[in-house]
Amino acid sequence: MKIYDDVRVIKDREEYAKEGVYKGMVGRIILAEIRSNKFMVNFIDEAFALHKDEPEWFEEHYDELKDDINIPIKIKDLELIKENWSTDDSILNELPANNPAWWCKVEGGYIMNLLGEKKNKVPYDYDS
Amino acid sequence: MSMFEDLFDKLVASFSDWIQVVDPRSYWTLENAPRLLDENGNKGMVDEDAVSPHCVKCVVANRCWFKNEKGKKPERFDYSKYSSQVLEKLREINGLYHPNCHCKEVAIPNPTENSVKLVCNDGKFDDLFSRKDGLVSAWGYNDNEKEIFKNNFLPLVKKEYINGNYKIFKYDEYGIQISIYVTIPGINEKAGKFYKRETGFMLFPNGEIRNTTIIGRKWK
Repeated sequence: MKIYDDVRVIKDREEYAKEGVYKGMVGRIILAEIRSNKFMVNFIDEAFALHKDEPEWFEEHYDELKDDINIPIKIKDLELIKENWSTDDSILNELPANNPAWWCKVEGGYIMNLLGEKKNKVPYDYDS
Repeated sequence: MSMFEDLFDKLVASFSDWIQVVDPRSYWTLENAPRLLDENGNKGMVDEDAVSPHCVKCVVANRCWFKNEKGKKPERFDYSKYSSQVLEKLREINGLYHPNCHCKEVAIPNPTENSVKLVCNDGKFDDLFSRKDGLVSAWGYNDNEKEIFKNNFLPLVKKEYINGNYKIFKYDEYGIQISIYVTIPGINEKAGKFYKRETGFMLFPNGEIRNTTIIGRKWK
């Protein structure tokens, strides 16, 4: 799980509901860095997928599209749906100050950085 | 810095519409917040909770640049009018300029194309052309015209930010997100048409802005 991967929210929380995000919604990670065990996830209106082959639809209905939602989501509340195009090199390019020590990906139940260090002690227990 | 350079900077800043939020007692910024020195003096990784006692929302604003106008910078707040219970809630909302806050607004020269660093990596354009491809098609851009879009878009964003055409969109412990107002030109069969859209960026210290969402809502 890393920047630009598609993820599903697997738990409802009040802080997510306040922003209009609920269990089952699929979004995309849009910032490389993990802060406080959370990824910043972007959710877009489903109409973008429904009408992707109808450019004229967007000209007529743009005002009806819901705003994007950008919200930090706890890693333990996310499930990986689809890996996309990011690599270690492209992640490094997106990290603040290109610092490889930032926590930036989740692999095998561990929050990791690009130096190969693991943040949590117990796999899948991201607060350990 | 020499006395003359200092005077010159102050003179330039006196004609400026921009400020930098500075907490002179805090080393922490959005960029360096998670890094602390360990017992051996090496830089290690810690959560931003480690910036305590500095307020996280002050930390994320520290050293960032703002147009000195309402809605374009963190707002001052008169905490003396509210009870401590209400304050506790408001503190979460407003963050900056809480009681005993050391943050100051320091006048800075107006930003220029050279002083602003705009970060919008290729992945953002890949994301736009993969999830909102119908939208860019509606503006005349084909799948293989990502570079053209990028080369049209980025200079526009920088220009509008420098002109102060933005608003604060969201301000939380993750940082300060702004919406910049851009007018995107159509191409090919949509040449001559223009599309007014907001684009989302996160503020970083010393004039750096990093893209979060390329295309947001329409503006009028």
